[in-house]
Amino acid sequence: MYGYHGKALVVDLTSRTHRWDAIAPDDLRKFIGGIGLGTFLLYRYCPPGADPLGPENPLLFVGSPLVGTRLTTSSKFAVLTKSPLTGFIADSLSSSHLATELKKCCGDALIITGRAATPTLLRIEGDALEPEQVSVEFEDATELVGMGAAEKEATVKKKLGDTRYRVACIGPAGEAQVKFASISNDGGRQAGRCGLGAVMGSKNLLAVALRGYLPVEVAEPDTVRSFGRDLSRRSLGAATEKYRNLGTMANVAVFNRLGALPTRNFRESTFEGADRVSGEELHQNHLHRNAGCANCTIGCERILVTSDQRNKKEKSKGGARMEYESLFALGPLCGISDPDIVIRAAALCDDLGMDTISAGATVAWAMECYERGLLTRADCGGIELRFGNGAALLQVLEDIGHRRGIGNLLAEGSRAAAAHVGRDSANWAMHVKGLEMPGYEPRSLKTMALGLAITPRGACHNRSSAYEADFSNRVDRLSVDEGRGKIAAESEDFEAVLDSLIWCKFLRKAFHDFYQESAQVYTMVTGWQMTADELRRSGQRISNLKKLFNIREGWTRVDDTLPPRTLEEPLPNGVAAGVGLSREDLDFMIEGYYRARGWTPDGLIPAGKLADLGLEELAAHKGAGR
Amino acid sequence: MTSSAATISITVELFGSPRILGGAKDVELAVPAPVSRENLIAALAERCPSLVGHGLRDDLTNLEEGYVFNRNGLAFVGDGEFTVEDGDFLLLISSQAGG
Repeated sequence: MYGYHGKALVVDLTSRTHRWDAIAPDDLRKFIGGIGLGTFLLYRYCPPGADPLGPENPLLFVGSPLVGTRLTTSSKFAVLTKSPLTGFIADSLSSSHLATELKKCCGDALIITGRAATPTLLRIEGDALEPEQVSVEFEDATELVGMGAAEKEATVKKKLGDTRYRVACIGPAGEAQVKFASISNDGGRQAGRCGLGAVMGSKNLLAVALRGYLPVEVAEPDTVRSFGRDLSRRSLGAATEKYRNLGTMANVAVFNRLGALPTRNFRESTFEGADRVSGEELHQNHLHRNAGCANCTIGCERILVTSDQRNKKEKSKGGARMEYESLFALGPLCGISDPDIVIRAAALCDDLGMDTISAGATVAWAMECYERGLLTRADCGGIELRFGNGAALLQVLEDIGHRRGIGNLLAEGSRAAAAHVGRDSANWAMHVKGLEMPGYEPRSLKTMALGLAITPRGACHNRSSAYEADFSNRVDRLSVDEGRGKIAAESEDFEAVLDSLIWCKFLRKAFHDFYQESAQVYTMVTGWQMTADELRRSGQRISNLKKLFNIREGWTRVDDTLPPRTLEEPLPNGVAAGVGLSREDLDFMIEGYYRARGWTPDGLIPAGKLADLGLEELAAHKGAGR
Repeated sequence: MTSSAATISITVELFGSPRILGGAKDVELAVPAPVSRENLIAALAERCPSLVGHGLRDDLTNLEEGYVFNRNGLAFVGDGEFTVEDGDFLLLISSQAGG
C-alpha cells in the first residue's frame, strides 16, 4: 500500500497496552486523511455522550497520504477529539517533522484512549511497516510536571538521548486542563483550537515522543518528484507573496482600514493603535527571523523579539512566533497597542500551551466585565483588568495558565465564565458553540458571518474560508443575499479536502485547478485512481460527517448562531460605521446554507443525503470503538 | 492636493510589502481624466518606482497577480471595471485574505 498503511496504532493509557486496528482501503479513500480520516475515526472511537475530559474520550493524531512525500507544505497532521470547550468536534492542524514520524511509526493514525495513573511520557519507536517491531513505552514523566512547553520538549529529547525524536507535549495549561489548552510540537507549533491540550492533560499524558526509520514510499516517485518541483516553483510566485514577506501579520492594517478588525471585544472594528501593532511595523522593528515548517517553501512564520531583546542582542534566547490571529487577539481585541506586550503575551501563551485566540477573547470578555463593574479589582486579585492595560493582560494570562485566582474562572472559556458571572455578560461573550471568535468582524464581512455561525467546530476561520468572497468583488460584504449559503458550503468542502490531503492553506492559490491537480497527486502517491469529482464528493462527505458527529452529541438549530453583540449592536466607527447584522439576515443566510447542503430547515441531514454520500452505515453506527 | 479640470486627485494607500518598499503609507496622485487603470498605475509607478515588480506589473498595464484595488475601503475593484472619482482613496492590498 502506498501513501497509507491501512492501520492505526491504538494505545490505551489505563491498561498500558496497545494494538493495531485495520482501516479499510475504501474508508481511507472516502475520507482521504487528516481532518477527514480523523473525523471518521473520531465518530467510531468516541462513545456518544462521552465526557470530553473523561478517559473514554479518544485523542487522535492523524497523518495523511501526502505526509513524507516532501511535497511542499505537506508535512502536516491533524489532532481530533471531542472538545471540552464546545462539547462538539475538535479538529486542529499542526505541522512539521512530527507529521513524518507519526506516519512512520503509528501508521495512518495514533489513537489514544484511557487515562494514565501518573504523569506519563508515551514513547513510540519503530516502523508501522513492521508493526510487531514497534515499541510502545509508558514512561514516568513526573520530572516534566510544571515545565513550559519548550522546556518540556527539550527535556524529553535529552532524556531519550536522541534529538531525532519528535515530540508533542502540553504546557502547564494542559496539565491544569485549561479548556482552551493547546498541544505544542516541533519548537512551538501549536494544534491550538478547541482545547486539545486539556484532553491530553486529562489523560495524564504530558508528552508523546515519536521516532520511525523507514522512508515513506509512493506509487510513482518520479512523477511525484517532477510535480513537486513545479509546485514548489509556483509556491514562490505572486499567489503567496503576502505570506512570504510579512506573513499573516499583514492583515492588521488592511482589516483595520476595511472596518473588519475586531477591537475591544468586538465593540469596534477599527483600532486607533493599529499602526503600532501592524505587520509592517512589526516587520520593520521587531523581526528576528523568518521561519517555516518542514518541507515548506513558503515560510510564513515570523519570529519577533521585543525592544529589549532587540537592543540587548538577546535574540538567541527566543522570541515569539507571531501570526495575525495571535496579534489581533492579544492586541486590538484587548485594546493593546504596545507591540512588546503583544509579543510577550504570544510567547507566554505558547509556553503555557494555550490557544491565543481563545485566551485573548476570554480576557477581552473579562476586561469588558471589569469596565462594566461585573468583575471587581478584588475579584481579579488586585489586577486592574481594563482594556489597554498590558501588564494586566500578561498577569491574567499567567493566572489562566496555572488556574490561579480569576484565571481559574477564565480557564473555562468565555461561554462558561459568562454563565458563572451572569448579568447579561453572555451578550458580550464572543464565541460560537463555545469556541471564541477569530479576527474577522462578522458585521462587515457578511459571508464570513455565515461561515462563523455554521462551522461545526465553532467560530473558525480555518474550516470556512467564506471570507474570501468578502475580500473580493464577488459579493457586497456589507449586505446579505441568498447566494451566501452556496458560497459558505463550497468553501467548507474545499477546506475539508485541503485539510485532509493535507495541503497548507497558503498554498491554495498556487494551483491552476485545485481539485484536478490534487486528484492527480493523490493518484501518483497512492496508486489509486482519483478524480476531481470524487475529491469534491469527499469534501461534502467530510463536512456532513462533522455535522453528523455534532448532531450525535446534541447539536440543535440554535447552536448555529452568532454572539448577541453582533446581532444587536451596529459598528460604531470606521468605514463600516452604522453597519449591523440582524438576526433575520443571519437566519436568512443560514436557511440558504442548509438548502445548499440539502439539509432540512432545522439543519438536520436527511437519510437520503446520508445514503448519497455513503454515510448511512456510519450514521447507524453509534461509535465507541470498533 | 487640488484637482484641475484635466486631472483628478486620487490617494493610493499602500499596505504590506508595497508600504515598506514605497516608504509611505499613502501617495497622492494627480491623474489625467478620464482615469484608466493603466494611467493610474503609470502615475503610481512614476511616484514609487520601487513598486514596479512588487505590486505593479513590469509593463505597467495592471497590478501583479496577488494584488487588488479596493475603492474607499468598501468595494473591491475587479479586472473588468475601473471607476474612480476625484477624491477617492484606492487601497492597494494583497488579494490573499487568509490568516
